[in-house]
Amino acid sequence: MGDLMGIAGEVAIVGAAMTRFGVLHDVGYLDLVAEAGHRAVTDAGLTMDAVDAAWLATAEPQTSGLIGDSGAAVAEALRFSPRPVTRVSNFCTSGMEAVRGAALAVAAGEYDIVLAIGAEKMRDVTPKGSLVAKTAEGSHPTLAKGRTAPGQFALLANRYLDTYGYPRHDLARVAMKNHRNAMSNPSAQFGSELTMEQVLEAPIVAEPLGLYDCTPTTDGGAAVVVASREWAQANASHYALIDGVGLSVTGGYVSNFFEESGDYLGFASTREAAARAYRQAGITDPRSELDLVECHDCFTITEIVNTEDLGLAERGKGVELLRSGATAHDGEIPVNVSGGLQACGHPVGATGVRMVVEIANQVTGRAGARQVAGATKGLAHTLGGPGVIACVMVIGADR
Amino acid sequence: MDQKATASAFIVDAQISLGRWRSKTRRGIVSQAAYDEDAVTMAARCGLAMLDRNPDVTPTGLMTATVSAPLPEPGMAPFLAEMLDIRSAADRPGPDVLELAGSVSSGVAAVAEAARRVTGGRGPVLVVVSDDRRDTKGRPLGAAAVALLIDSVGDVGSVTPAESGAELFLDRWQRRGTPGVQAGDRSLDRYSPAQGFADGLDADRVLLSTAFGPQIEGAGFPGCAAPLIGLFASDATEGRDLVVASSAGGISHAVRITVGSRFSDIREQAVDEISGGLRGKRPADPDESTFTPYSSQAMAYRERSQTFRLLAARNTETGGVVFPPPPAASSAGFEPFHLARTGTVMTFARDHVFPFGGPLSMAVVELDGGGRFYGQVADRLEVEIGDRVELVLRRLHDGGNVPNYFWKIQAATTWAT
Repeated sequence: MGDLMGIAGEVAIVGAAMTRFGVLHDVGYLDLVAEAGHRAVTDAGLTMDAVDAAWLATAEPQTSGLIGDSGAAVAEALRFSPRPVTRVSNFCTSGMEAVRGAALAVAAGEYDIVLAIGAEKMRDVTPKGSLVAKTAEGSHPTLAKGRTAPGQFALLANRYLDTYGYPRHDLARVAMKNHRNAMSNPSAQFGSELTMEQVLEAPIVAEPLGLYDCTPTTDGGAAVVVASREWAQANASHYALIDGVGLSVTGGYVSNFFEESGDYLGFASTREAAARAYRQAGITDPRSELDLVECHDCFTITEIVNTEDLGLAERGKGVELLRSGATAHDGEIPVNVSGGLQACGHPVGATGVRMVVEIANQVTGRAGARQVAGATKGLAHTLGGPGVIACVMVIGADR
Repeated sequence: MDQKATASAFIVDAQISLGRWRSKTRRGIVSQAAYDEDAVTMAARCGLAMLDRNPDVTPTGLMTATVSAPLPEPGMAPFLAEMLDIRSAADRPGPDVLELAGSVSSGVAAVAEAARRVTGGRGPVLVVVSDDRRDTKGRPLGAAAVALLIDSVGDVGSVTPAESGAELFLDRWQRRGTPGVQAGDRSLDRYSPAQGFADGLDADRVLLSTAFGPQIEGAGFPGCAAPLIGLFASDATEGRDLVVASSAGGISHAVRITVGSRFSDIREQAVDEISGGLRGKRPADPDESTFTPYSSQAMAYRERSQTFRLLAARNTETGGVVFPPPPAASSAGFEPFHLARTGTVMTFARDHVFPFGGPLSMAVVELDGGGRFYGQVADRLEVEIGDRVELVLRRLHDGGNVPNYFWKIQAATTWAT
């Protein structure tokens, strides 16, 4: 499948940027799109005229008055007319879908320079009026009562802790690590250290997940410029290559909960997407071959099971990996050195693009204070909905 | 004077189902519906129990009675007919569904009507009688349902229609748009035609119900269901002949019962149900005034089988169960499969962020026989991994200005499994 032509090793990330993430009442949705887009193009050493097409990721435009529900937002924000823009929405993997769509277009030879932008304006409404109300009121009538994102991942947390016998405070280690990491990320929503007590004593959101087990509600944007490897080798001052990419979609919102396949201990979507990305990138032992990982830590439990699904630890051993310090910034396989969703925040459409920005900068030695020394290969991973969509991208320096 | 007919209709099985709460009132302990229960949900519970316990009996008729259907039009029968899957008989074009209302004596009328149909060769018939009865201020008077399966053979008892009667006598009434039943000058009660009706019956023993009594301790006076709960909670013994008479609002009905060998089993279940339920202070209704969930009558119609009968699909090779069933064009290799309503909690979450009516427990249940269920734990209770639970119909919300029913999870009871 797709072996004749493809993205792997043939598409480069030549520009990367993100806006500040946070509760940004002074900027609107179009400001986020414009800032991320212009800065990524500038980072590539280009002007907007050089860009042939754009992909836009915004998962839930109903929190921003439906602005961002189509590619029209890019034409408006970047004075991009009349060039083609495609908007994608694929739960929390939306951002990586924009990058993947742009990369597919380049791989297909249709365009030379393509911009992938992710943006989400969640805090024009209160957190309770944001995705919580959207899922409660907008869902299928039989799911309207009770389904929330924290509630869905708490199902996993309870099952995981019960099955493997870990205490709740092991979840807190994820929040502590990622908040500490964010102290060297000036764009993150949060930037201070958390104690175990603060995490454990925070108000409960969905037992056993407390406030600091959950990603906040965030505004933000991020963008990357993609081009062919040949173009990058001839023209770019810095670039990273997409070594492999996998997307897996395993079920629906309703069926996911009613079918017997899920074990509430991890996600088949991540395992499938990772298998494809690793195969393309020639990775057989991710823990030793990857220098760092950005994975989807929407809730603390999510990072733990993701590290297992991505093959960094055996099933049920993610907590031991975390306890060992291996996933800390100075560990053997750092996870979420940016601060992750936990501390950067999670503007849904922007998150996947932000992760690609982070890994592209890391493998090209441009990550500043949080640079992982000598990193040449990293992985970005997002997980969507109740865990039924996952995208995995391996990004490396050109060797 | 009533002629003693030769009985040819029999009660095969019966079950009473009370509202979830037993509440202290000045009339003693009465059954009270949870905020998400109504005449339909209580009726569903005992109606389903009849079908589950009697898989060899396929009712072709459904006789319902209620004066408190959440939708006065079209009443509760369409919901129950869908859920109980009352099918047409081979020799008749459609299922025989009838809803009686008006007077609370229509509960007994429904039993009489079922007996007439069975005697006329039109059985088996399922009778479901249900009411959530309240006073003018909305306070509980009794909330319960009774289901009886009636056929030409059965050992709970024989049943024969007796007298009916009518005259204008407004002892209790309910105005449209008011929360419950009201009375005028209670000294008028002694002019009720009820006692005269009972005295006119040729019987050794008459169990007489009116518009307001008897009060059954633990159940209260649950409207149409009251006379039948009175019957099954009574000390009648095998072989006794008795008459169940109900006279309310001037409308009177009576059926003659000869108590059979299995009556005592039904009585035992009835006593269990009356003494069960949740006690203590019933939580206030959650404020959902700003909750406006998506609703579509077209979708509700299209998905009625999956919603009310938990119709799923099973992969004929792997046995894997899929709910909702796959679209028709993708259904090759699947067969229809109904999810069981009992199972074991696989995992759960207690959600404090849900903006309406929380904190709320949600659970994933591994259902007996395959498939899973994900939904709310009823009554704001909590569950643990490994708990045995059953699914009960509840009113999920009122999106689209209609009751939207779906299943919730509660601790398993013995009789529902």
